[in-house]
Amino acid sequence: MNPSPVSDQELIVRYLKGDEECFSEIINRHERKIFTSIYLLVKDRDLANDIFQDTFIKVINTLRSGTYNEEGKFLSWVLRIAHNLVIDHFRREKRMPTLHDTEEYSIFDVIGLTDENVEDKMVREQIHQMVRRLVEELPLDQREVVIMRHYGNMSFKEIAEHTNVSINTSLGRMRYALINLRKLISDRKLILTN
Amino acid sequence: MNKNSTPINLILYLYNETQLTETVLTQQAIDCDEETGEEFRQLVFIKNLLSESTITPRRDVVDFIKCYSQLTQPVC
Repeated sequence: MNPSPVSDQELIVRYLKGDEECFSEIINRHERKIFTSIYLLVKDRDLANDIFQDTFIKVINTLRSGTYNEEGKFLSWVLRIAHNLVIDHFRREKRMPTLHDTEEYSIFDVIGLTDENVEDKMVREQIHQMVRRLVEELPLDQREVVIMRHYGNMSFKEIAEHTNVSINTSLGRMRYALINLRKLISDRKLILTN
Repeated sequence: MNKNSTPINLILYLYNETQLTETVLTQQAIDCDEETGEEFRQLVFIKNLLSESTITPRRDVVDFIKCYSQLTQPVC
């Protein structure tokens, strides 16, 4: 039987006692979800890297200041910090991201993956890239819920509180987001298989 | 859509946020109602795609963060 992975909270406790490896483990564990969340909000990889860096600088400073009290909710806490930094960025820029204009989808407009083969890895990455682009096309309120629930592991109740809407509204936005993604895939005639 | 399962319940169930009674009713609806079952399969499909479609930050950014952490480590 595999041993249970060390919890985020335990890693943080060890990190604050001086074990830097524990912080590396925390980053390794969550970097994909956090970075993808930021990227899907700002739609720019360089800017996403900058905000990712700023987010973790703030995380380190807060942990070291002793004011962190989100036991068991590390990922959603970090995502809230990232989300606030994104909002700060767009406030400074005096604009919020809007829907992308329709882009050219070139050779990836129709992707069929009915037979697994050695080239699947490359094709699969192209599909994932396409899915991220489809998420970018969602209206901001739907995109936010997808990011917070799917990548940030926030409950719908927490999302509702964070975005000042009712739980039913956040649930409805999530449903429409997933339906819209399905529709976009269908409209673009993308044939995707898991 | 089965009367025991609303679209909202399906979303809650998809993300494991249903209470016991809702869980049983929703699972029953997925198993017994063709329309509900199909919608749920589509939602799972999209959810799985989202899970796979993640990207990583640049390595130099991660290295910078780790370096910052080491440099700001309090002196005991």
